[in-house]
Amino acid sequence: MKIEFQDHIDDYLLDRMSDEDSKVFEQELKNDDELREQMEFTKDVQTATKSRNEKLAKMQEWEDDYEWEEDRGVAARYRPTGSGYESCSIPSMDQTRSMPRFSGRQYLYWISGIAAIFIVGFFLIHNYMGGKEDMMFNPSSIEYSTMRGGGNYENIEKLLVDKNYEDAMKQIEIEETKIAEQRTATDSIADEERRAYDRMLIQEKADELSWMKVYALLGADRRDDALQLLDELRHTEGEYKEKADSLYLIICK
Amino acid sequence: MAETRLYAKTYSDVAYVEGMYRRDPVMERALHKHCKQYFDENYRGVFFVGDEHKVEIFQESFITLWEKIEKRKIYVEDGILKGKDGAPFIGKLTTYFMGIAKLKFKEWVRDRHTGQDAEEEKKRKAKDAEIYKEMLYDEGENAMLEIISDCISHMSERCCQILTLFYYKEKSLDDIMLELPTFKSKNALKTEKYKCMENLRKSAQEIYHRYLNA
Repeated sequence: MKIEFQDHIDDYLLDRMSDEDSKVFEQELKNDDELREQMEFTKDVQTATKSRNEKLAKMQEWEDDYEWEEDRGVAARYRPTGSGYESCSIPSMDQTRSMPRFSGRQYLYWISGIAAIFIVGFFLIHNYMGGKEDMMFNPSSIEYSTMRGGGNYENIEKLLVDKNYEDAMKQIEIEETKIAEQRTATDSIADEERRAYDRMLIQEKADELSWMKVYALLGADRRDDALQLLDELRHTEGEYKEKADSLYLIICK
Repeated sequence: MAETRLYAKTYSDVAYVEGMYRRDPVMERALHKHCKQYFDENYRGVFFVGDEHKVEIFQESFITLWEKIEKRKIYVEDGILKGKDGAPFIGKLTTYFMGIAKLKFKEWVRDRHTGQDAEEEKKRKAKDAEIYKEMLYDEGENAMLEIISDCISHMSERCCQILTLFYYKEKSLDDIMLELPTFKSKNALKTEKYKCMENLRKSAQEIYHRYLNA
């Protein structure tokens, strides 16, 4: 490698050379094997550096969103090099921002957590104080299965496994009606946090039912209806978003 | 349709690879999460490393996997996942990913334990050569690029900073001097950059000859 070549090579690769100089340089490249080899090497370094840093930036962004790395224990940050912990930080780089971002889902989790504490707290206080007359809400307005989150749809699942799609559809429709009623019931809940929490649980059940309905529709040869439902699911935030997207792509392929 | 799993927790390997190749941001993120979860759950059975270095090894391994998909070293054809020489993929994508991670761990150990017995080192390198050829470096026109990508991950902090600012951020030497004030002159920075390039080239050529031209 010749140091005197490097400036010209860099200027050429980074578009810092005039058109006229570029043409002269290209001619030199044709006639000089060593220059051409150094040029190829520099081009590879540029490509590799860009590819690596673009990926690191994306990975850093995803990491900020993940909540499942509880066992990590250290505030490890992605580095542009593998050499040494926290070693190659460049303060102005966009991808190395240090402030954690809070997504809408994280806010929902916070609200849900706070709501859960209120509900548990209420029952504890209520049991210890022994007063029935000061009950703040009527739990019977929402079924137990709704309160604990997620539906109990083992019967539907069994029908699907047994390929009894028509009966599964009927059961799903019954459950959908119940969910609609539960949604209406939540409107009357005065406490805003609890209302949000209950709605979230109901939505989880609705998504689970929709997911089962997709399989029932596919089993009943109603492919278009299934695709339409999958399309809705894959555009809805929730547990089934990714699964629906994956299945949608497989079916459409 | 009968083969489709009712409650698939993740995408299929084929969907991951296709999505990554299409640069679908949802699939990129999904595969990252999938590999991260698998890595966290299984790395202790493959190698032993502390938390902070675990992150480093995962990071390097995932970039390698990602680049392999981008360069179609792993690809989907007729709905089948294929790898080296067009052979159908054996095993899961996550198993393959852990294979890369194992090699990255070996490199990590090597970087930190210099001064081994020369004969031992030679034997070990010969033993590793086939595995490296199989998983990290493919023979072909892009072999050198793959090797350079790998060498960049082992560069010194200073070299990494300079090359990142110069080739990725496309900053001028004057601007780099503002960010790295330890350089007192432009010539000093230019010389340092050249040295970094020279060392990188030497390392890359050594690996090329060791694994691909042996």
